[in-house]
Amino acid sequence: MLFNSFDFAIFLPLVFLLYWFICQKKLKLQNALIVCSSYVFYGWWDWRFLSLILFSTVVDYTIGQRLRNEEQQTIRKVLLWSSIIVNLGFLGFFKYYNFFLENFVDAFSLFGMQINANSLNIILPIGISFYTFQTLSYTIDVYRKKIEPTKDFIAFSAFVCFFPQLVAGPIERATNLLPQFYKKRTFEYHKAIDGMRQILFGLFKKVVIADNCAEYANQIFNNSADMNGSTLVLGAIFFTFQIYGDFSGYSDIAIGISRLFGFDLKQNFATPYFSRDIAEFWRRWHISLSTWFRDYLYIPLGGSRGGTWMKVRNTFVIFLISGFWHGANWTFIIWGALNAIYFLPLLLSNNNRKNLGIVAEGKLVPSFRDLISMVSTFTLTSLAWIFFRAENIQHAINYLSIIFSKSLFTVPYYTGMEKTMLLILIFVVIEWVGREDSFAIESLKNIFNPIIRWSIYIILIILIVLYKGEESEFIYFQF
Amino acid sequence: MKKFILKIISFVLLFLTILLICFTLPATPRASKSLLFSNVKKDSLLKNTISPRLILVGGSNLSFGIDSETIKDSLNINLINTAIHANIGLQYMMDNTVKHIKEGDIVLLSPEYNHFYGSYVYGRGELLRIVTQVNFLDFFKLTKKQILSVFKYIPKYSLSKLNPLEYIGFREHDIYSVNSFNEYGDVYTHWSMKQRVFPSANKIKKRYNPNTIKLINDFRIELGEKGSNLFISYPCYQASSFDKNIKQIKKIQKELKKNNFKILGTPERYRIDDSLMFNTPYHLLKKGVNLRTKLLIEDLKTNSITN
Repeated sequence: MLFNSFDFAIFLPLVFLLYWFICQKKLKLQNALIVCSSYVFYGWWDWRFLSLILFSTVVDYTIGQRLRNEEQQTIRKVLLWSSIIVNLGFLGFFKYYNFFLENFVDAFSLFGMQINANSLNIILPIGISFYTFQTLSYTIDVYRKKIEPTKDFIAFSAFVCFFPQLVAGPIERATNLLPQFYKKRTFEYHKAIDGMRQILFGLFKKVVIADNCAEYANQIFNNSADMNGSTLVLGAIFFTFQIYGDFSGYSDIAIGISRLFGFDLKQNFATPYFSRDIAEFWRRWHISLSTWFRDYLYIPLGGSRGGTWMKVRNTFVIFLISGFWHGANWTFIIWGALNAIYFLPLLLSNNNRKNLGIVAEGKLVPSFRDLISMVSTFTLTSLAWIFFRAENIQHAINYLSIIFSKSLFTVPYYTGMEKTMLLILIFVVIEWVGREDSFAIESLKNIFNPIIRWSIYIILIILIVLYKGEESEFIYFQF
Repeated sequence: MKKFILKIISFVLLFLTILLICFTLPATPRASKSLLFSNVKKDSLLKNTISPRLILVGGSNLSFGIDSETIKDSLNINLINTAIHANIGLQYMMDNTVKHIKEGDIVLLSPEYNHFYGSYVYGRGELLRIVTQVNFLDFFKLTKKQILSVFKYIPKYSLSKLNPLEYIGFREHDIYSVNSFNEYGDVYTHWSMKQRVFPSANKIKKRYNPNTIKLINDFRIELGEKGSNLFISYPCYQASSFDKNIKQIKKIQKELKKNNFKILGTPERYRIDDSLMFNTPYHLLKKGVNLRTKLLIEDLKTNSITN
């Protein structure tokens, strides 16, 4: 079920009413409703994969229970690794089996050995990368004794399959989300209104920005060989905004919906395109994934405590794995590597934690220096996105070679893009104004005149309806 | 909770009221100049042109792909090109034509390939505009499936009337205007223009809709009852788009054959080289128009449709 679909427009109010009117008195009933509705939500795509979620839930719940009473370190480790192997095993099979198979075959053929291996027609279960990481975080935290293992199977199931963030995050930590399933939830008016506001802005990002940008990004990337350099630059910019609007829009809707049900999810994006360096970008982009890798991979590997070599190694490991997490294609790995290369100079010069605050905080416009830093970071990021979007590495290289040719200084081919560019400009201004809040239009709550507030909502809805692009799935579903 | 629900209901009601008010507003100045308004002139041609006539029915593959005068001169028959836009939906095009049919008329139907997949046959936003702004009474004649198909376009249609650009600073479109058609109903303003850059069509992913064939069959029966004959011609289609959708096109060809329709030519015959396309996979440059017209004349003659 897509958030921007008619089905969901029926589903959400129905679950909301049942949740607050029928199940309100019993916490267990509310949690059970969340589990049932989440399974309906997920099963709408493909009910067969519900068994995977259920299996993963049972495995991690059981391992959690065993870890509760187990003091012997060897057995605790075995239990932890069992969870990791089961979860990553599923992920590996569904997402990476064909990739590894094809690459092994190719590698052997380089040495003149022909191997007959048939790739399988595997359907990737939607959201598997997200809920796998979420359940893993639970087991690891229980193993580290950061969290008490839950005895409540329904609450744990709800934590694993909570429908607002099940298929595309934010990837929640057990330490943050699970305890919320234990506490009685009461309806909070201001929280719900805030949630509605965030949903509205999320829809705007997805439907107006991402889907409109997608139209041109797809056209340009799919026909890049016939385009000139300046058009390809536009294509890269359109994709840069498409992926941001798409993914952060989804996160906003997910966080907003969670608020309607009384939950607080962590912020997943913090205006990343206003970052002044690549380190800041990664503190602001897909925060739930970046911090997951930081806490469960980077720090256990030694983080930045060791020597230079270890810092460099760990940085590359994190970025390469992060790239590979996004998809079984070399393009994602190169994208990760590029980001590591961008990051390295900052790390080596100890400047990776230089820009921790909000750019031009309390000011209307940034300083010239900040502006240049933001534009440079945006350019580097956009160039890296070319690898992310390209069909294969050759496509990306060809794309870049056309950009860096004389045709960069010719007039772009496409006409009719003005509308989308204007929408991007409006979006950037809104984001800039709201960059100090957890989402851009959060501060509307401070406007006390309801006529002005409602007029702004109506204008946003009109923009959504009038400039709605071709309906498409959220990009991150494929990860 | 009560306050929240009340606020949401009030907001929804306010929004629906705005929608309703906008829905009832007349066509904007910009919309009044759109090619959809050519329907009035085309209906008048259907009413007033003397029979027997060759009537072309389809989407923009016909309006942007035929030189009717050449066909008329070659076959010595009155010709009406009723085509405007594929998004009006094949069902409405056929319903709108059948009421004007006279004995001896020949109807040449050339549906776009998309009409056989998904709900395209029932129409989209353009149908909503036609039945609310051009042929108002037709709104009440829409079938359930047509209403369901256009329903989702109501918000966009209504709110478009709040767009200031619909009232000020707009220019009549150079090709998609009510004045872009010649006396036979062909769009001719692009005949002197150069090719524009556009992407080839995406692969059709929607499910095959068997109801399209059923609707065409009903149309054939109704025409037969009025003493008219139906022929089907494949649309002109950009070669690169054609190749992407070959499987879907073959399926259509198979189904049309299975239902014993009188078919002119083959899909491959109307697979047009990319260099002859104008601005979409169905719109032809003048050179392409000449080629397609020539092919159609040959097909019409081969099938002894006219002298």
